[in-house]
Amino acid sequence: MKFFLVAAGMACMAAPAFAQEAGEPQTDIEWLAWVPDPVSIERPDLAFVEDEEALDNYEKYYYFHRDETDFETALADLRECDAHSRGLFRGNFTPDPTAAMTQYGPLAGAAGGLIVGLMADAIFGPAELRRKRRINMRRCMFYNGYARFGLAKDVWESFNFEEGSREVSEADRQRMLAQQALVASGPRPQAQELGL
Amino acid sequence: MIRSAMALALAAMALAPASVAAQKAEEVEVEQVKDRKSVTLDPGKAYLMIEAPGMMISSWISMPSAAQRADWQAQRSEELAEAIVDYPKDLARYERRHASWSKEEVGREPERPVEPTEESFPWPDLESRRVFSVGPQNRFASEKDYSLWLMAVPEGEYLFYGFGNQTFSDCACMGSLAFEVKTGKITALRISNAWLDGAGQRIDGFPKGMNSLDVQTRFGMVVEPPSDFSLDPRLPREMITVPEFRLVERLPNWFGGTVNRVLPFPGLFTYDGTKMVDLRAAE
Repeated sequence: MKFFLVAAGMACMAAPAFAQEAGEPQTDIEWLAWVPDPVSIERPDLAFVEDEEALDNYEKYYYFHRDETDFETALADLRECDAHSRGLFRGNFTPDPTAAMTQYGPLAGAAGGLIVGLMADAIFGPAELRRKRRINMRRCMFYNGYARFGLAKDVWESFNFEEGSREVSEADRQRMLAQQALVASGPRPQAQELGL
Repeated sequence: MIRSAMALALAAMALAPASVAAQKAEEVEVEQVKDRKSVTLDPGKAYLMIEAPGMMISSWISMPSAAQRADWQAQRSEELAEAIVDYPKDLARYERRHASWSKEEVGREPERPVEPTEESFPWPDLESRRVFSVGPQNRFASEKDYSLWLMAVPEGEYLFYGFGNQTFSDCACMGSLAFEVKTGKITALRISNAWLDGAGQRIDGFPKGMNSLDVQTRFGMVVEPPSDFSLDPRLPREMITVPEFRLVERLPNWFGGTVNRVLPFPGLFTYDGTKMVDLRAAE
């Protein structure tokens, strides 16, 4: 059972929707360490009509921005929060975090715990995964000092992903995080900040 | 550093099925003290007392001893040795399956096994197996304004992991506190949640004018010294002690829950962004 749940989780990392570009990473591990030139990233068009429906959905559909932040820093912060959301972040809970990394081998797992998480997700489905990611990204980016601004759903979907319902490969995930980093480190939005 | 750790953890996810079954972690022995008229505590035991404003489920990590860590490492070494022996067979099996798959390319392409090495072999944190939850039942005392849980636990360091249990957890992954529980003492602390406004500032009472996801997002965790409610007349006053806290900036979200953090406490610590700042050092 555990094997199938983990396998199901990994199966979500298949079939990129973007075309593979020459010189891009080949493996998921390489994608996680990918730092593109921001000039090569397509800047999302954030224009939309702020109607009642869009306003109602700002709790779910948003983007982040922080002043005086460069692209690489924004990408690292978004990846950290993405890792928190996925249970990949390793933490530093022993007095010597370097020892924690080496004590069980560098590949010591999030694995065991994540199986429990996946079991809960298997019971309660993609809605629970979406809810958790929205909360985690909001909290984590807020504590990293980023302001949050609302988006219409269709604009949000052009450079964001949900957990659970849609298959998103590691390559697509990292490409969209790079687009989010471009926005987060770009010109300051004129819209109203939404807060935590 | 963070980037490589994430990459490695992702690889650990991919490899997880190979080794998860074999691990045996010693269970944390938690002995609840029941709510009776008369209570006798054993001065040879260490006690942990949790105070909360109501029925809550909290999670804690009992940090392992050096011996337990050594045993965990020995198990890993043993499993790794077996995996190294098995690897040529696993690789041959993969090559046969891949050759068969290549003829028609129907179904999912078989995945090449990762060669087990000291670097690549996955093994979970022992701490993730030493998480235990407290509450909402088995209260030592309960009144309208508070609940107390009292339990004998192994002496050692403990860490606040968050609220909820392993299936539904709100983890103090972005800022927590650790403390020692000592033999002959009742180490007492109080936990609660506090509502936050959109600026992240603590507010009294239920937040107004927020939608449901705002309500689920805008609260922080409180870990603080206990109130007078913890001075239960059945307990020897001299045994009750308030711990010294160690700041813990990051915890792994082992159970895939939501992430949160303990709110700043005056005179103890505050945050600079995501960094915990020890205010005791400044005094």
